[in-house]
Amino acid sequence: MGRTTTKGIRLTPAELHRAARLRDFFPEVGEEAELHKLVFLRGLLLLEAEVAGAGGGTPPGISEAELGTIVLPRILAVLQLLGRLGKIPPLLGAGDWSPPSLEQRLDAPLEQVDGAIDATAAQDIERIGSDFL
Amino acid sequence: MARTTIVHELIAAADEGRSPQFAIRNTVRLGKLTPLVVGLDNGNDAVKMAVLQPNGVLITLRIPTAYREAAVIRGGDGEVSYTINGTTFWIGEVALRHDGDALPIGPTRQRLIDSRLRSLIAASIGELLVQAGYAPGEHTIVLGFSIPNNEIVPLRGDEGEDRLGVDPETRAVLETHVKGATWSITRTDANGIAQAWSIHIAAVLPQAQTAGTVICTTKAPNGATVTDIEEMDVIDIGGGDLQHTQVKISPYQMINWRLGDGTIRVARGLGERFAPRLALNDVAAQQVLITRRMLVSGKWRDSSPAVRDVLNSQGQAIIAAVLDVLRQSKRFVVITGGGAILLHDLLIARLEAEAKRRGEDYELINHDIASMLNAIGALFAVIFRAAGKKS
Repeated sequence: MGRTTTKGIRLTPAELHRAARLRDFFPEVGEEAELHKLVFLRGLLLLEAEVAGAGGGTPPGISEAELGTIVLPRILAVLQLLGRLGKIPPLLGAGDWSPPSLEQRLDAPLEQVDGAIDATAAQDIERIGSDFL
Repeated sequence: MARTTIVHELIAAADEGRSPQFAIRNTVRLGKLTPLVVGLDNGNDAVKMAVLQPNGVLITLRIPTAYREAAVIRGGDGEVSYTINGTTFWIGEVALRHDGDALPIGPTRQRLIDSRLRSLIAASIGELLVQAGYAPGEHTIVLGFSIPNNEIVPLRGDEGEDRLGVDPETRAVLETHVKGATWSITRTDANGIAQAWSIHIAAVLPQAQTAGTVICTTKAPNGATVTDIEEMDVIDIGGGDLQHTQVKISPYQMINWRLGDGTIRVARGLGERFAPRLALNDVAAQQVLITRRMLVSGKWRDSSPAVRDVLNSQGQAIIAAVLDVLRQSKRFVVITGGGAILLHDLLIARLEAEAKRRGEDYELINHDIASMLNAIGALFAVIFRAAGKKS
């Protein structure tokens, strides 16, 4: 990693709380400073893509194609939210953007089944050398 | 073979193009806990797993035993990755696509001390729960864990009685590294969306790999023995091992022999054909056998002709090793394992030459079921054994 410089910005308690909440989704992030760096870099990426989209060019060393590829997964994740809210314009296509729920994946209703087990089964399993550690 | 066994539902479901479904609860009662049951076959070439949804639909998953620490992908779609203890890694086919390592084969006591295998097992269970539609978060699991047949050994019980049990070294490594473990996993999908999973292994039920096949072919889903077969031979053509097990049904008894290497001998034959131009490790070569294609100079190539050639040579050698078992007429023969799918046509030709009748003299487990039977049997073994435990 190259040389780094400490820069201070002022944040409200509410903004700090919003950032802290994201930690659950990135358990590999250690200290609070690492989390804030992640937030900064993700925001920087999105702003760079906005500027490129408006014709303002790309950061040095990154082509439009590369920038588009890197930001695409982030945009897709946002589109899932917008899709659930019905905010995707017809141009992008209609359809259900929500992830399939357990119910939607099932071939049959979700009711819990509960069949009785034959009384001899447990002994047969034990007889072939199998028991709980 | 009786029509109401577990394997008959599996075959019927495959023929009808639907998911198999059983009127069996997906959890068991162990003391004060009601953990979710997972069956896992810790194969040398792949981890195979099974779990029930709440409505009894069976979900299975096979993940090749390949592991690679994940790199940052600069362009294109991301890959599904997992993070455990700060290390982000790929598994299975994703790892193979990125020249991942085939993890060492061997007995359980050697394999489980490799932290990469433990991470692969943890991530694989997480992936199984994802595929089965379970929500991220905390899950308590009781794990039916298939081990090599020769790790179930004669022991002396507390009252001096002879019984079968888990080899002490295998027991020790399972108690150290699996039983009681809590694995915190972050799964990041191809779109970069992360989910946190915490999987706690409350209990482990080790059993001989072939026992899973015996359970599925002789028992109904409620655990009743429903077959009219008194004695059978099970030929399990696995990735690492070729196993022959003689089984008596009433009462249950199993005697096992390892006859040699499984489909790995075919895979290595394939690898030797393409060396040194292509360096295929054992797991990658096993995948080529299944998929019949390989990545060469950036393009997918059909490898069917090469696979056919090595099957005709090395595959015939596997059949020769079990010919005596196929020929005998005293016991019903069940042929299973991933190799049963791979060598299906050769096996059918040999059995027809021996005038054997399918359904009467033998059953050749086909579809994709053959490689999953041991894991499915491990799942049912937990359900059956737990039913006999006092709360």
